[in-house]
Amino acid sequence: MKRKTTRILSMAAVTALTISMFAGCGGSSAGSQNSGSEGSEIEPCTITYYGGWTGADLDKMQALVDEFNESQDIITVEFTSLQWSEIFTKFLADYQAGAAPDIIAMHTFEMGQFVDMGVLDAEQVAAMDLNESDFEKVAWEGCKYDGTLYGVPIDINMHALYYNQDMYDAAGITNPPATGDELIETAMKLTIDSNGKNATEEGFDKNNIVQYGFGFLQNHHTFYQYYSMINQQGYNPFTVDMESITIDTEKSDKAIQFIEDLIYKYNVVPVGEKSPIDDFKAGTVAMIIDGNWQLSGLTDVSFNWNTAEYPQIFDEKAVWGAAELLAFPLSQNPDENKQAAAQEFVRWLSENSAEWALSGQIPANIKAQEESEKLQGIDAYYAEKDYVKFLPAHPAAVSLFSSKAPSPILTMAQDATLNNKDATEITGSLEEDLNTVMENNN
Amino acid sequence: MKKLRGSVKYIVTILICIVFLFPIAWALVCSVKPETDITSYPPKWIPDIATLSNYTQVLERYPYLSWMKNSLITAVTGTVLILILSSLAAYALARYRFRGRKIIYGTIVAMLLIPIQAYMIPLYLLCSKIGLLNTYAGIILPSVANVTSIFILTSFFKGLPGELEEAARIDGCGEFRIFAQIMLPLSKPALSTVTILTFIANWNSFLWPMICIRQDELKTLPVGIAQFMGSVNSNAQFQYGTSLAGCCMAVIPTLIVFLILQKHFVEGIASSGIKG
Amino acid sequence: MKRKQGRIAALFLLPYMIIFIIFRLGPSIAGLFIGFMDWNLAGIPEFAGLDNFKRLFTDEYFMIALWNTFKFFLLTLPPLIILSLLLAILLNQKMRFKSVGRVVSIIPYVLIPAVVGIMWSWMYDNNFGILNYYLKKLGSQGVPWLTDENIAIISISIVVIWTYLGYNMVLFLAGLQGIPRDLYEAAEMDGATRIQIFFRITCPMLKPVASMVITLTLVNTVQLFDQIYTMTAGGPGTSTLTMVQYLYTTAFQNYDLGYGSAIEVAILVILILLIGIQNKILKNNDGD
Repeated sequence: MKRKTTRILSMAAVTALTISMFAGCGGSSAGSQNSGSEGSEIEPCTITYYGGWTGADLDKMQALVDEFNESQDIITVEFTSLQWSEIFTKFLADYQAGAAPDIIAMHTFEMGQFVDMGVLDAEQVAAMDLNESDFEKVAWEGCKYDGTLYGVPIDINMHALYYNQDMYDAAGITNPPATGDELIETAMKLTIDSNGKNATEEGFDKNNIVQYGFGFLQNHHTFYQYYSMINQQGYNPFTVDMESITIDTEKSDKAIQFIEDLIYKYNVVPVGEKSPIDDFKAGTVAMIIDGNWQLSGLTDVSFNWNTAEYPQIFDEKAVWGAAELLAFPLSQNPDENKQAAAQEFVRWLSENSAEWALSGQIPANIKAQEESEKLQGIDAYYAEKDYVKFLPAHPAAVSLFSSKAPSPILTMAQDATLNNKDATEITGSLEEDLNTVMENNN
Repeated sequence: MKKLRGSVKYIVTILICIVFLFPIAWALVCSVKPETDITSYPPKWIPDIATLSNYTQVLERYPYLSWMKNSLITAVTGTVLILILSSLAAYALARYRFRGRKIIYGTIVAMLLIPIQAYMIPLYLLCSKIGLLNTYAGIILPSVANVTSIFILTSFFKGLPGELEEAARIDGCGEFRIFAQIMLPLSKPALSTVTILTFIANWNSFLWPMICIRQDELKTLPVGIAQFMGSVNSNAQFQYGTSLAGCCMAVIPTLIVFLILQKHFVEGIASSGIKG
Repeated sequence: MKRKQGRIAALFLLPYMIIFIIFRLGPSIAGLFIGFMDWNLAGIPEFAGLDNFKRLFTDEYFMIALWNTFKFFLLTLPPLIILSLLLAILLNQKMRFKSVGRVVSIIPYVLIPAVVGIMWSWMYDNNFGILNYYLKKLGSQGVPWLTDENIAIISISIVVIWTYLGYNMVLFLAGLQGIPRDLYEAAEMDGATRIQIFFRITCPMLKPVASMVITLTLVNTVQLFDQIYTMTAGGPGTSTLTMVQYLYTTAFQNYDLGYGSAIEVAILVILILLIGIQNKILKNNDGD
């Protein structure tokens, strides 16, 4: 008797648990009405805003939010920021629980997944009635999916070359490298062993290098460089709507081989380098490829430095980049007033993002760009925005271009930088891994 | 000859101690070096300049003290709840005869082999539904469903003599009083074992708190510190100095607690081992 | 009497059982059902039949993770048995400071594993790590500890061994001390050598402990996550990707809860199978 009761009880508990988890997941996709709040006054309210910034970026964004909150007394913005992957989990969990934020920040390539999940509201972006000409074209286009605008671009991130001017002077180098050959040559001159010999000289000891000429992040960012280099050959097989991919071996191999040669043939890059920016700051690496987000951290270093455009290694100029954007999650129970308030804040942020540039960002809003104070080294990035290439906002982009294992691009990057595998083999496994991910995503 | 063998023993023991302490000692040394010295070559055991700047940076840049507070609250509350609930349940399983006892005990012990990783998705969905994400309760309650403690305590209670209980019952003592005033005081060794084992497990717990908490100020120490290493975010600047300082500050409390209670800990491992 | 006992027992058990069922037993079972669903974190679950489970068999990443987990087990188990036993024998000798040795060797076990990962990756660093510094000083080349896809798994295994060695030592120590003195005395009377005594008496008597160490290592390997998360995050490539890391990425980065649950179920089945096999083998041995 007792036994039976216990069993029934435990079964009931489990069933209840299971049911409770399934209930309430449905019917969450009620579309929001076009707020059409033209002329209508916004009632006082509090809106929530999620972002994925940390460190100096976070401080700047928080300062902007505070400034907005103080500039008027109707709308209060509550800002939450975690690391990107964390904030997205939080966002989706809150969305499930019916407590999605009013605004979420993300990158262009991450947008595809969320659009595919059906959690973003394009109508609110449309309701803002934005003027295309106010924005940097590449960023504007990056916020589109299937022709529809899903977010408001805030800024653009890119790779460029940082170089230590003092080391240039010591080695008698006048200009930063503009081509692949120049890059190799300059890097070799700046790679110095414990006897003071550089890599171009006879008797250079590659086992006792004290200063490296070149450095870069040997993780997913290596793939970004690979992406730059295949685009430099006028080739980009990565598209928004690809269901599978075939990579041109010849072009891909050339890019991979270039990366591998820097490390293993010319010995100008430390194998397994973890933090190029720290090496650069410590003076152990003379040049690095890194993003504009590093600019603000270099304001107080003890040596002279500058930046240059990403070298043109192949036929044309191209560099990897991404835009950050603000999107509106689809609301389960739309509140027109809050939506209007959220749009108001996004508009304000976009127009006042000049201050955002102080953390090294390039505002996507052209007016804000013009107003912004130019940080040292930002010029190279501004020059690049005409030929920057974004990764596609593919629905599976987050898995395809994941920065954490298992990830096709991380495997590709590490096979090249850490293991010096055969370039054709790397191309083959990259293609295969990407196709597997896309197949599983369907 | 004998003397030689004796000194070999000592030398080997010292070497072993060095191996075990080396990473901690090296982390401590490096954590007081300025960032530029950390990556200088050759590495130095005695820093040119000793500075606490890495420590102050950790405290300034991250809500480190909140993390520590959260770790303390969740680990202590979790441990206390485990002690109370598990000893009650283990006592019932060990000292009373009732139908279903074997099944219940069997089910609980079977879960001994099922790590939280094997059910964290449903647990996550459950906590999301009942609003336990981003709360202390969300970290604590799953840890209270602890199985090791039931295992250790049940076998301990089973080994206690029955006479005391009988005598107390004849004296008209209530069942709860028998448990609380007679049996519990006798179980101090087992209870301290459970205390240490569960406290360490809770304090060190990483995966579940990481999933459950998506709010910076609510993170526990391991989760907070792990993000120092996170290259997830391309904007994150990785610095060894600060992360090592963060590590050392997290390790020192554990070391102190462990050194105070180490005797029980060793006994605890040993006893749980023999019975297993 | 029994009925009264039953009621009291129920009262004593109730608080624990409620928590146990809601937060442990229930989710463990519910995982099975979610495995049959096509469910992303934001969406509505849809019945997907056996799709998720079928996918396990064709998923290269899962196979890699499974194989890596197995490699970790093979790499860590022998040292964890042999070195722990030797350490236990050493610290069981009559000598001063042996308690210091015992305490020190357990310290790694009590440290936060995620933190241990950071400390070790600092020592393992290719360019600034102290290990490579000493190696180079001794004239050999630096080892790419965490950046070579064949070496990384060994480097992490070393950390795992370092962590659990002292813990297992205590288990063996208790086992050693539990061997009755008179067995040794009798053997010595018969003129057995020390080595004979070790293999004929000590080893067989320690079999239960060894079996426990195997089970613990098995469970620990399958759970392996924290150290890897802070050391290599599964890389280089997928060379240190474990099942739990893959599970975490699938469920909480790619938001595929259905497939994640299928991985959970697989982990569960593998654990139960392996422990079952292990028990069977040891039982059969006992029968000899």
